[in-house]
Amino acid sequence: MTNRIMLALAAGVALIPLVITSPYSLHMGILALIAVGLASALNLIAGYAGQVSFATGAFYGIGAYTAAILATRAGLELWVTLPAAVVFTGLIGLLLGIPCLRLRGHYLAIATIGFQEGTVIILLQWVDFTRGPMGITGIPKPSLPWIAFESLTANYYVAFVLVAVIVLIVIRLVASGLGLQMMAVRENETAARSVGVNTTYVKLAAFTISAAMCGALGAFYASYIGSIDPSVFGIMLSATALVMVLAGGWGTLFGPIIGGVVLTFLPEWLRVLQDYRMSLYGAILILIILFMPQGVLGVLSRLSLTLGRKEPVEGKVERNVA
Amino acid sequence: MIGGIYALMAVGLTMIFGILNVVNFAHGELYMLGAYATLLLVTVVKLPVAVAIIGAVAISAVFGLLIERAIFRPIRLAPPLNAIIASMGLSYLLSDSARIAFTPVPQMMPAAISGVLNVGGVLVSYQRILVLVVAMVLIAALTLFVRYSWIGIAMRCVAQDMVAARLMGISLNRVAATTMAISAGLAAAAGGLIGPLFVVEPNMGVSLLLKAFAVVILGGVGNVAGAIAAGLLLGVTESLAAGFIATGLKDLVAFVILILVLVVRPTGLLGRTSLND
Repeated sequence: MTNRIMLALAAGVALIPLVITSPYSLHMGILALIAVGLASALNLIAGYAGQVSFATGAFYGIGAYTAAILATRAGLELWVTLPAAVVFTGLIGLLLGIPCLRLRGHYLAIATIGFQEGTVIILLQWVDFTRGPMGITGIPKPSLPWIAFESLTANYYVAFVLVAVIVLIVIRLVASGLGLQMMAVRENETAARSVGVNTTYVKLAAFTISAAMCGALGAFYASYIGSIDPSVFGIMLSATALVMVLAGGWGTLFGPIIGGVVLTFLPEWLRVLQDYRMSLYGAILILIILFMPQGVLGVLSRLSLTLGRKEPVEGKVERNVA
Repeated sequence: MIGGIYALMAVGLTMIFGILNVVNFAHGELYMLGAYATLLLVTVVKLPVAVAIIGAVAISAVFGLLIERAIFRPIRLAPPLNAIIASMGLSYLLSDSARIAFTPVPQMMPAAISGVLNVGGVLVSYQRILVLVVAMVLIAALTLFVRYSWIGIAMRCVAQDMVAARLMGISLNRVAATTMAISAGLAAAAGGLIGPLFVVEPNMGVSLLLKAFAVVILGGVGNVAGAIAAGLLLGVTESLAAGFIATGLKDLVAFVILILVLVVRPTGLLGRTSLND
């Protein structure tokens, strides 16, 4: 069931550029794809492993800067810089995971905020290496050895493939033994350890994989946009990613997809309201927390239960598995 | 003297963190609103600065009550992340509303007292000394309040064990409301005091808030004495880092300290339990 919906969804998303061709819509589509990727990566660690991280923006930024510096200094192309960014951000994720192993709840959140802010300050201050607030410009578009992706449509498909791979990895992982162990850690760490789950390994794996995914997306973003500066990769992005996961539904496969798309377009829709945009965005966040803390999928599954449908929405099933 | 401001902010944060287990991301905005309230009371209502700050504290405390009632009370039993996200939403809402209402242009505030004190060749403005003194007096008053008043004792009970406190007949709602009001009042006091030293603008709370978190962790969650010590320590360390290493790296100090403390000594310098002494 899940797989069939996922496939239909992927086919639908792949067909979009055939129907919609306006550059603005395609650009928003690419940003929405990136958002879905980031939210899915965050969902892996926050939704499934229960480790709330505010470092999404930092990993995204580290990936983007790795790719940008390799591209502009060493003249490497995306098919080289992207794997490099994956390895490097994965390594940083592992390094951040080690001290964070001992922290829970609020403490983990605050530690990752510290890492997030520290990363932005380093990006801003290490001018010799990162060019500080001026940012890096002239990053070449994505390319493979035999083909360059210049057009928006081509870039859309690169983003699509990248995000599809990430979502696929998340699906496979969640169904694997490691995924079950992650959920066990989320539900009760002590109990998980008592039945033989190596919680250290599980948490480090979740941290590393999630960071590497953000790094890959960052590398693509740098290459697609062409110029980056530290302001993009701040805590605002990390918080937005968390809200995407939360609004869609924690620990569900579709939650981050819904959340990523809706929250990419929401500020655009609110643009008609001009000046009141951010105020409204804040108010909507508060309302989501107050009235639908389980996210869109949570509301749907409650509805489906009250309507007496036999098949509960997928998020419910996963809770039971855990 | 910025250490005094860090301490004021951190004490308010550490109280709601320690007592209610809420991480309030809108705390920086309460500080910003405190600064604006003081500014308006001085420039529009023409009150003397000292009275204006007291007025701003009162306004902010009432606002704190409203926030507690409208946002934090309904989600008290939800996972901690819900309160984090809700308070982030509140933070966006408040800072953006301030931008619309007061324009993003930074504004100057008149100082409560002018003049400079010369201490062996080092010049210190009276305003800076005032900040430190008022911060210390406020915190001392708070400490006495928490130690000896009935509601203060109830607060410490809730911090120790929420369920047991309720079984003893303590009204959780009253404790939560009082804590939030005090916390908001302290943030407003910090905002009103700092106004004349820096400028007043809608985003002034954001970076300060993150440093206040570092101070809370460094001092130990729920530990008022720890928050004061850590606040002053961070102020001094930052000035030293700016003077001896590089000005730009000043802001990094707080986050390096934050991560180091969490790794090496997660209970903070003075431990978690001091609120209950």
